[in-house]
Amino acid sequence: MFKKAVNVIEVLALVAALGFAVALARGSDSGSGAGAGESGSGAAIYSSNCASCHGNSGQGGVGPELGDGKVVEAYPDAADEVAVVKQGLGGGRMPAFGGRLDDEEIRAVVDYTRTQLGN
Amino acid sequence: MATPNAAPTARPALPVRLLGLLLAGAAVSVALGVYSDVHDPTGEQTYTLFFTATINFKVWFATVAVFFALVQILTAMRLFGKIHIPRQVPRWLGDVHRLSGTLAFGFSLPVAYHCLWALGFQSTDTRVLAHSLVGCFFYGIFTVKVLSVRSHGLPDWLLPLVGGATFAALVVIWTTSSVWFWTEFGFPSF
Repeated sequence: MFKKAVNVIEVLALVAALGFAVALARGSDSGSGAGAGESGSGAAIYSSNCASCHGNSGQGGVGPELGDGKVVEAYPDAADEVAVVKQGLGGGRMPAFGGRLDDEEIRAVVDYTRTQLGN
Repeated sequence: MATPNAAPTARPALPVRLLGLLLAGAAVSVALGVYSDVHDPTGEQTYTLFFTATINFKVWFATVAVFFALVQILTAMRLFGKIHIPRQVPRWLGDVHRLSGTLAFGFSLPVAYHCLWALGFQSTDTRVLAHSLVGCFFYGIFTVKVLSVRSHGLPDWLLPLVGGATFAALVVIWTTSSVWFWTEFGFPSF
């Protein structure tokens, strides 16, 4: 009985591995090169580019907390935050988004983090 | 009509079979490395499963994968007689060994998917570069291990070597991601 269950789980793992490969391949077709800020809204840009490190509501994670006014405390001048988003932070702390987002998108996401995120 | 001199169970020579295993593993590692380098990382969260953030699920899943890998390495050591606890080898130990390896692999997949899809191959510092390289190596050596288990007539040293390398690779991946995260930000909640 246990052996049969293990056999079934092994088959499921094989199926999962195939699904993994297919998902990567399909994603590569449809998603590669797609600018994450295509929808244009600060919230969408944040969700696609920033949330994986800073958290869905800016609560922090790999990156520091941004919501609840924390980003305004850290960067009272929005231009400084724009510069960080555009150029990144050294030492692998944060990647530069200047090559992936245009100026308008960066301004939109910065505005979103300062006015709506986690508020 | 069979020829009288034909060997009924002819296998390729051992070096050829070992080379075949190596090439299969290398193909997987190189394919993942090329994909993660060529594919534009989306930076998306993609999914959180039942966790509050992607990073939380990744830290937890990687840790669970290492736990199951540890179970597998310990059961392997018992099966190979390197440790003697328990004194008698239970009949089910081999199945537990298989199950733990399968689960370790299963828990690693969604984590690896996010790494490959959303983050890509990165070399911003030593930790990140090591994580990217060993991440690709892991699935290659795992492929070699699975194929070695399914093959017959291979040298006795091969499976422990490949199994140990697979475990070591997973530990390096975990150390350069989950453990790094704990030390920098604390152990994440769900």
